[in-house]
This record gives sequence, C-alpha cells and structure tokens, in this order.
Amino acid sequence: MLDPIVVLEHALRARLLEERLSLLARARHIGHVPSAQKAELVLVAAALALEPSDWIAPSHRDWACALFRGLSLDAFFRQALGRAGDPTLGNASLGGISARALRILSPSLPSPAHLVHACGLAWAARLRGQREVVLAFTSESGVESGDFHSALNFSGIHRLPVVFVVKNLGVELPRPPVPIREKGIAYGIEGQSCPNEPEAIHRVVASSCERAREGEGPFLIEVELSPKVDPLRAFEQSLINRGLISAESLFALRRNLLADISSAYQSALEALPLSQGSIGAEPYAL
Amino acid sequence: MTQKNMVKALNEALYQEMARDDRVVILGEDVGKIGGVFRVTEGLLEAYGEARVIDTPLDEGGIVGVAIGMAVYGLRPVAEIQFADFIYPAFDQIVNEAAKYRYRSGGEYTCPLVIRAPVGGGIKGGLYHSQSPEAYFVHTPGLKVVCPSNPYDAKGLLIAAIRDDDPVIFFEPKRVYRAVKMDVPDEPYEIPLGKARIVREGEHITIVTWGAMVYEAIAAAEEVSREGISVEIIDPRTLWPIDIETIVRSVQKTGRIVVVHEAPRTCGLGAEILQLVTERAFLHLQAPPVRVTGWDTPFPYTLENENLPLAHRIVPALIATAKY
Repeated sequence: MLDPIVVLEHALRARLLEERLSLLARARHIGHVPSAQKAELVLVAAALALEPSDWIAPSHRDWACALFRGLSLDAFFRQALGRAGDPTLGNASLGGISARALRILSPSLPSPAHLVHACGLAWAARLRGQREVVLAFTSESGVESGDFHSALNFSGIHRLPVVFVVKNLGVELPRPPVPIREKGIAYGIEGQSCPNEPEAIHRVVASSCERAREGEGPFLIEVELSPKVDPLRAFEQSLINRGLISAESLFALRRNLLADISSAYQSALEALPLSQGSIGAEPYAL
Repeated sequence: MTQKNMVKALNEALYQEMARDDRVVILGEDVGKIGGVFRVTEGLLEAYGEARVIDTPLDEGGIVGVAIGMAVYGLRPVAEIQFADFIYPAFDQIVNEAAKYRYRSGGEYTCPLVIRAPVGGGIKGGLYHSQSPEAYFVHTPGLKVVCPSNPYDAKGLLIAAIRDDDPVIFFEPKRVYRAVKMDVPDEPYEIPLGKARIVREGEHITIVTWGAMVYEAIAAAEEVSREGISVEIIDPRTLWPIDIETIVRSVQKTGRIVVVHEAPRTCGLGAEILQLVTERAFLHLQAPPVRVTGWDTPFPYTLENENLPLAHRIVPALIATAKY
C-alpha cells in the first residue's frame, strides 16, 4: 500500500535538492544540473513499487532515484562540489551517480543506452536464478532512439523481466501517430498508459513487476505528463484537500527538508576538495 | 600438447573457460546453432545449452549493450561481432558505455566483457569484411585491445581477456584462422595482457607488427637477411596497453624501427608507437622511424594485395632504413 505522505516527502526532497543545486549552477559554483523536469512523482511512485532486490536503470534526469533508495544528500553535494567522499571520485557529471549497494545502474548519455543494459542485467539475474526485476526509465525522446528498440527487441524475444517507464512530457516531436504504449506491440510487449498520479503509477508498476517476476516478460508503461502543470504542487494540494496533510504540516515538512539540504551542503563544503591524485584516476581496474 | 589452428585454439579457450566459470556466457549472431560465422563457437551450444550460448538478433549495439548489462551484474560475457567491419553500430555502447562504466561509477561497477571480432584482409572480403579498426579503440581510455597472431597466443590471450576485470576488444586475424597450425597445450593457460613477444631476434632493425602481418614481416626479414640485414620482430599481442618497454629496449639495440599494420596509415596505431619510441629512445635512432601500412583508402576488393603491407612492400622499407 502506497503511503502518499512518504511519496510526498521523497518527491519534495528531490525537488528542493534540485532547486538548491540549480541555484549553485546558476552561480557557476557547480556544473549543469540535469532537471527531473517535474517528474519526481513518477520516479518515487515507480521506485516504491519495487522489491529491495530489484534494480533501477535511470536516465541522467532520474538521479533522484538514488536519493529514494537511501543515498545521502551529503553525497550529492560532495559530487556536485568535487569534494572528498564523492561516490563517483570526481568522474561522473551531475546526474551520473550510481550505487551498486542500492541497485542503481549508471545512467547513460547521450543515448538511452542504459535501456539495453537493463535487458542484460535482467537476463543475468535470471541466469543466476534470481527473481529480480529491472525498472528502466526514459522519456518520449528516448523512445525515438535505436537503443529503445534494441531493448524492446531483446527483452521481447527473451521475455526478460524489465519494466520500461516512459515519461511523456508531451513535447511536440515529429513522430508517427502511434501512442508510445503501443510501440512494444511489434516486439510482443504489452503496454499501458497511465496518468501522472502516484497511486495509479505505483499500481501499474507493481503489477507489471509481478508479472515480469513470474516470467511473463517485459512491460511498457507510458506516463503522461503535462508541461503546463506542476504535478508536485497539484499533489500537495490534493493531499490537503483530502485531509491527509495540513498546510501547517506541509510547511513544516518543507522547512525540515530545506534544513537537511542546507546542513548537507554545509558539510560537503567543509569537506576536503578531491585531491589531484583522484583526477584522471586509472581507467583500468586495479 | 596438440597441433591446433587458431579457430580450434579459440574454441578450446571458450570451452574451458565456460567449464571453469559458470559466469562465462557467449552471445552474438549465429554463435549457437551455427557455431559462429568462422565456427569459433562450434559445439558450445551443445555443451552448455541455450542459456549460456545465446543466438541474438542482428543488432551489434544490442549485443554489446546486453553484454554490458550482464557484465555489470557480475557475469563474464563474451560477445561476438561477426566481422570487425560490423562493429560500428556498437561504437556508442563500446566507447561511451563499456569503456567508461567503471570510471564514471567511481569503481562501483566493473564491466568485464570481451568483444571478439575477426579482423583484417586477405580473404577477398572487400570493403566490409577486411577492415582493421584497432586505432579507434586504442584511442578510447578504458578499453584493452588484443590481437593474437598465432594459435598459442590466441588461446592464452583469450583466457586472460575473459578473466580480466575490464572490457577487452579481442581482434582475431581471420587470414590466420586456419592458415597456421602449431602446438597448443590442451590445458588452460593465460598469456598476460600487455606483454609483447619477440618473434625473432635481430641486430639492425626492429619491426613492430601484429596479427596476420607478423608472417609478412618474417618473410621480409628472411629476404633481407640474405643481404646481411638482421631484423628483430616484436608482436605486441596486446595493442593497448602496449608493452612499450620491450619495443624501446629493442630499438635501443637496433637503432631503427619499422611499424607494419594493415589499417590505413593516417592516425593508425603505428603513428602512436613511433611517437612513443621517439619520446623514449630519440638519441638511439639512426634512421627515421618508418611505417608500412594500408593506404589511406577504404579497403579495396580487387587490389587488396596492393593495399596490404605484404612482404614485397616491407622489404624496400627495411633496405632503405638499413642504408639510411
């Protein structure tokens, strides 16, 4: 059962972190911050439908997935600021955090190559006798790439336990008049579109993960986002309207999260800069 | 110890590694039922089953991308690209993904996969079955690049590549596949990556070459030996990271170096090798470093023997270098 307050807390933390990082980027203290494009609710609701042993293959805009799974705010700031303790050792650009312990794959750029990695990972897990599922995110632009079609083809043929979630921002692109959810049909993959509502997303991801776990193969979910609406604000308002949170509690939550973010930022600022020795680290395993 | 050709030696390496380590899986176009376009994977499907010997769609980017996912999980995939000429659709997956996965994840993940591909000309393959693209991959930090020249090295290097924790591009000179037989141990063994082999010792000129061109270098060395020119031949075996120490030691002795490779001349690996030698042994050089390479053209069909740096093109370069 999805707790809407937990969803709100995760999504709001990610939003506030992005806002703080974006301020630092505008002040040229850190590099470019890939925006989640207001899709935090999709990421949280989908990620919370997974078992702890399942994997997430995020795009570079989905870095908040690592946050939901327990990576500290401090780690994000250390990466952004190039401080000791950066989990990527100064190597990844912003948005590029991965974590094996949290089962978060390394996001790909510029193409959504990670969708194909998700297939290999799911395949490997099955070969090792594990009932693990891979949740792979991309966008409406990603579905135009060859990697997307490679991923659908391989996962469709071998009935791999991968759940693809496409965040459709509704950006006008020239494309054939086929809904994204139907792009899997030629590969034998069922699809479904879903409104940008946490409960609905959580439900469809949970059920598609379960069928994938039972050997019924991949599934394609299209979540329709509207660029004109901020879904997080709308979600906050709906929780207030439903009496699930008061305006005062929401304010307090926001204040506490901002305090956590400021404290993490301060702690990262005080950390030592990455040493020169860590820059240009050996490109091979030691 | 049995006489084996390179196809048999590679097949044996794969068979034995799959027996030793159940994380080793094979994937590629026609690697299962057909046993690979050159039969390097013949019999593996029967021995290890469809779960570990996987026939894939004709999609090189997909093959390598899936192999990356498997490697990241902890398997040891060996992907086959039918010809090195077909590797370019997988270029993004190799260069931007496999090569960078360990680096960009700060060591959270490694990407231990091998990508095998037949390479080089000399079989009347024309434009798209003859290329030697090693320089693209040598230029990419994070990749190791291997090219054996004989069955013994092929087996030991492939086993070492499979056991390595980094992605390895493993080029197999198709002209040598069945042309050479030699004693190859029946048991598994490793030849360490990054160690060159001195094919032949000599005093006057060092030739650095690999793959099928090793045999052309030997023929050229034989021919000039009749004129009193003694040639040392070094086969790096691992093209990157290259064993520059062995090459430099040889040049310090001979004072002359000729690099021979099939790939086009401009920005070929030969240029890098000569620069590395120049930086380290400049004052030992008694003649300008020389390249004998493929021409700067696409690989031709009819005139392939004019394009390849065969012995008849190496000999004049050796004589000119010796007389400089």
